[in-house]
Amino acid sequence: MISTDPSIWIAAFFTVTIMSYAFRDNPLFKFAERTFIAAVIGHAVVMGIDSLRQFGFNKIQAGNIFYVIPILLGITILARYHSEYYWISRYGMAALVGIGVGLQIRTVPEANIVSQLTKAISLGDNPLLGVFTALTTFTVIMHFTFTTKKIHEKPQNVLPVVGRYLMLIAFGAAFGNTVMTRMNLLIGRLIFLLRDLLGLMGA
Amino acid sequence: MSEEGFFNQLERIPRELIYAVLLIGLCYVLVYPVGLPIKVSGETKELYDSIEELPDDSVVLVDIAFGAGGMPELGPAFTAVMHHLYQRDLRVIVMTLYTEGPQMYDILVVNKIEPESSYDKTYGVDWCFFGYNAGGVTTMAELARNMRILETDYRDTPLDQLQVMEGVEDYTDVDLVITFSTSSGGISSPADWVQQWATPYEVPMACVVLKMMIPTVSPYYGTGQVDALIPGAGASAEYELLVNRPDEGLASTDALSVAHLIVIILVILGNIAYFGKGGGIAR
Repeated sequence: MISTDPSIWIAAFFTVTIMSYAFRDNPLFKFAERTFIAAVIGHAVVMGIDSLRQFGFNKIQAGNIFYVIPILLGITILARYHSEYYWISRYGMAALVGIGVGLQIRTVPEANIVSQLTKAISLGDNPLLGVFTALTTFTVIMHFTFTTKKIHEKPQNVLPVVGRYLMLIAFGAAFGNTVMTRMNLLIGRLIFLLRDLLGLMGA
Repeated sequence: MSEEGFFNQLERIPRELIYAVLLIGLCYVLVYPVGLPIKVSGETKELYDSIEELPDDSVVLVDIAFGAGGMPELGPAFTAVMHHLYQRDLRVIVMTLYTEGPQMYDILVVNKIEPESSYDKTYGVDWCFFGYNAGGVTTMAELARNMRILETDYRDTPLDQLQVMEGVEDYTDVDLVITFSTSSGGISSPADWVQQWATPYEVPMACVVLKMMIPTVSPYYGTGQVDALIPGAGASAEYELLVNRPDEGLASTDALSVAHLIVIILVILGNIAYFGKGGGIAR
């Protein structure tokens, strides 16, 4: 049974108009696109202000005066839009980058380098897979080694070539996964149109 | 038509025709499902077991790191896993660092799962929701050290007044973290969770991500930094079967297979055209 809920019809209208871009750009698509962007930005601004209220103004009102510092640093970032005082924004940005780097440097080497390298050179539970992982790591590194041209000349270029083909297999897997994700997004909207709007699918 | 003309035409199939075939094919199997058999994969069973093996009263931290754009793929998986969490006697803490997270929580937990009526669960006793919190990875890292920095939940109730938060102070009190993420490198990505929670503190971690993110997260799974990793597409149907809650994941399974079949046919046609024109030889 076709839905009589106005919110479903509005959602269906925007779904169809956004999908119409796949065929041709058109004014209805532009309308839907701008409405979407406006809604997302409006929502993000409201959430941001609410966050400021909760973690900034409320804390200051409660007597935690130190919360003035991050608010002031945040305000300095807005100075980048001023032609003369744009340099003030660097203080806010410096704090952001400094905190970010400080957090990452504490854990990234262990999480991304040591753990990965340890796994790459160990046989683990499955020795065959371990050898394959080590071979893949080595040949791909060979492919991106440009210190000496000799590596890429025959007959020793077999290693970088193997590395290239192994990378292509990985890219193929990534492509297949990407297609599946995109199709899932489309199927999600089709389920909405067929089930929630038109009532053609079972609950 | 010359042979080259045929291959040229094959290479230039109008995109409108491709989209039309795709839409018709998908709509047909959605309305008239074929009912292809579904086999539960080892990865999905791994996530199911990691929840099933938790003792009663364990604390599970659930991170909503997707918005409306990711809902078609991660929504069904999130719903199925949350059903499983509510079926057990666990303490569930839901959080989000995404501005759209609270909407996803309202749509999927409050309106769809309805834990009070479906599982006789009580908000504040069996589960709670922190609401949106800004700060990204900074907040995530600080939460590991001190969960009470947030002070209140999304209803502005102090965390001290929530029974579910009793004794939950930092990462040592969390038994499992599950992140549902569409973020490869932005806010609340699986990599952030691995770097800030799983690796330094060895907190058990499960990731439910977009299918296309699997290659970027699987290195962490391979090393054991992530204990369970499943994609939203496909795996959500398997999880719905495991928790006996058939929903959108199962409904989309046939359509996903048809979509893949069409893409494979198009890839084959593209290759026939490419090699038919001597593309491979010319290089």
